[in-house]
Amino acid sequence: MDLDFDKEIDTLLRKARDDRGMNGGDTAEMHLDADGIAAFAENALPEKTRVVFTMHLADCGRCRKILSNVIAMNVEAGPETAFVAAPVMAAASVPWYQKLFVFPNMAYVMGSLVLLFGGFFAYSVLLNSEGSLNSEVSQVADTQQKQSGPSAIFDEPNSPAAANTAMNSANAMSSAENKMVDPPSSIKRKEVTAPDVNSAPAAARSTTDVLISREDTSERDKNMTLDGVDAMSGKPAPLPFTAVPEDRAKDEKGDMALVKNKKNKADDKQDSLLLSTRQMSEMPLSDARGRAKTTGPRNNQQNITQNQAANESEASVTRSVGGKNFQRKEGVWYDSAYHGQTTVNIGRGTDAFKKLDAGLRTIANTLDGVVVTVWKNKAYRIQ
Amino acid sequence: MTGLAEKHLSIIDPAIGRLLSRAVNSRGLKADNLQPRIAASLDKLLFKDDAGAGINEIKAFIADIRADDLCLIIACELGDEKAWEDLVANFDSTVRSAARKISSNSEDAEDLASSIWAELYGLRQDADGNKKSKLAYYSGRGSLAGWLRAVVSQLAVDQFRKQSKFVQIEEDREFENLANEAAGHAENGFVSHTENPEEIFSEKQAAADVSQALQKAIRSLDAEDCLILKLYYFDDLKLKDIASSFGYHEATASRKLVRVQTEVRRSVEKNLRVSHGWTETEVKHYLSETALKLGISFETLFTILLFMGFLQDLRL
Repeated sequence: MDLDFDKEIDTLLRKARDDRGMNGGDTAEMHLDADGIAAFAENALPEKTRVVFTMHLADCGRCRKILSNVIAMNVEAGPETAFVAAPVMAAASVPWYQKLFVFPNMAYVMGSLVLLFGGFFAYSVLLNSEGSLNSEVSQVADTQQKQSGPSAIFDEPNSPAAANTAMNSANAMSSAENKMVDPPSSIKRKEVTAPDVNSAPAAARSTTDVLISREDTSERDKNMTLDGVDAMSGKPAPLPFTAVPEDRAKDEKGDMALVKNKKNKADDKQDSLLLSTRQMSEMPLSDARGRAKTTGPRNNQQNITQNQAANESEASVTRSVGGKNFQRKEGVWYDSAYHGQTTVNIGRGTDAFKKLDAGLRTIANTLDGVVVTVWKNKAYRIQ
Repeated sequence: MTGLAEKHLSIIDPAIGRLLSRAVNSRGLKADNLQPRIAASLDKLLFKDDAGAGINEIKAFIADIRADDLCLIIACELGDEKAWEDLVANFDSTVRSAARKISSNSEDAEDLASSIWAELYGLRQDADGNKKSKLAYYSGRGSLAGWLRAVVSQLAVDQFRKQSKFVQIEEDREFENLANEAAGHAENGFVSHTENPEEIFSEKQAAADVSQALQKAIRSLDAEDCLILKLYYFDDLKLKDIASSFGYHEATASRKLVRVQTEVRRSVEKNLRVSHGWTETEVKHYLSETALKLGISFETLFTILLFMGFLQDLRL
């Protein structure tokens, strides 16, 4: 603080501090006790008593010295001495909810709210994204089933090619499984690239697509003659890649018919056409094709026999659990009531699995591997 | 219990009840335990200087008592072991800290702190064999920590004054001997002064006149002004701390001090002129010269301190 002091008097008074007569002696007969001095230092005396004490202290050097010591020590000790009762009273009178609006508490509260809403938002987004993933996967499976329709697979369930139908649907399922592992972008990529499979070079296809189409084509090739005609159904072979739009599939079917008409006239030309079609898939397939060409129809007949045996053995694995009949196809248990509906994909041991009905969980726990079942008009794929 | 306190029992008892209910930890004390102490405090700090204190003053006095501190001290007096444990646990550091600040070395501080605890516990006994404990003097008007500091300070100041009186007597004798020796040398012509003896005499006389005038001026001050001035100039307290003890703002204390200086100047100048026959010019000249000399010496001292601090830094 800037003091506007009289410098001369100030200097004189400072100089006079060592003057015995000036300082106040020890002349008083009665001194103040420690209790009175302590109360004076804290301004805790009644007014009249304070005046009397002040008069004594102004004259008594001894008591004033004690007072000045106490004041100095109280100041050094901090505010706990003089104002101990005040905060307690203040704290008792403030309601708890008002404390929330005090600055630091307010900041904590707002931070907590932001975190809470942020977490809730993130959780809801996550849930939505999972839901969209499931629906996309189911849609792909549906699309594949629909797309395989024109290739006369589901149209003839009682024909000898029924096993192939099951296999193809299993393939479609397994390809769907592959897609479930992949992020949604790979699914989209497949949908985009599929129509261009026959026209675009093989190098343009993604690795995932190649793997999927290899599985499809290898299965199909087992039942296929060199002419590209299904030995079981007598129909032209479907294109190496099954995920093709319907209109595109019709065009391809027409193309294949055109090829069939021309095959008697120009075998070499057809071979080269077929080879060019094979080249669009993979080189190892071409090798297999080469061997088949050398061994001829006999080898083809062996393939047919083996496939039929395999199909029959697989078709014979059926189990009845919980009043439902299940058939194992390609390691997947299919409920007899399942006809290609959209499935809800659930993993064993997850929270969603635990929330399922006890009967459904019993079925899933009884059957190993992937189970596709219909429960209360809803299709589930449990794996 | 005196007549005054006894006369107001109908006011005191309910007030004590409120005091106990306000205590966070009343330590199982009843109003009867507190009544004698509060009555004594009323006599000492209220009725002694204000015999006509009314109901409101009595109520206010009791309401301002620190309930928990007083309960702790009375419980200690009644031999409550837990209360003693709490007292030592919470206030031993206060006592030791105060003792360290007042004492010149740690050994003295330890001795002082031990003496205080002995006084508090009441190792001495009165004629009837009762313990004489300092706890009996705590009224609860001030904080317990502040009271303990005052007790420490009181004991230290009293010890110091006893010692300094003894030392003073010894020093006075030595000074007398030295003065006699000097007088003998002077008589033999061995002492030489570079300054004019007349000037020396006149300076001493002037200083004595000013000192007398200053003492008179300070004595003529109002008690509160006098105390503020002494606490500020003689005890080196800060204006802010003085102001808080008097219950007003630092700026108020500053204004008071400026006013006190003006009063002192007026009184000193008048006294020098009237009582000591100084002229106006002599008064002004002396005061300005004194301030100048002291100012120079302050500046020199400050420079020396700075230089010493610099040297200390260099050593580190």
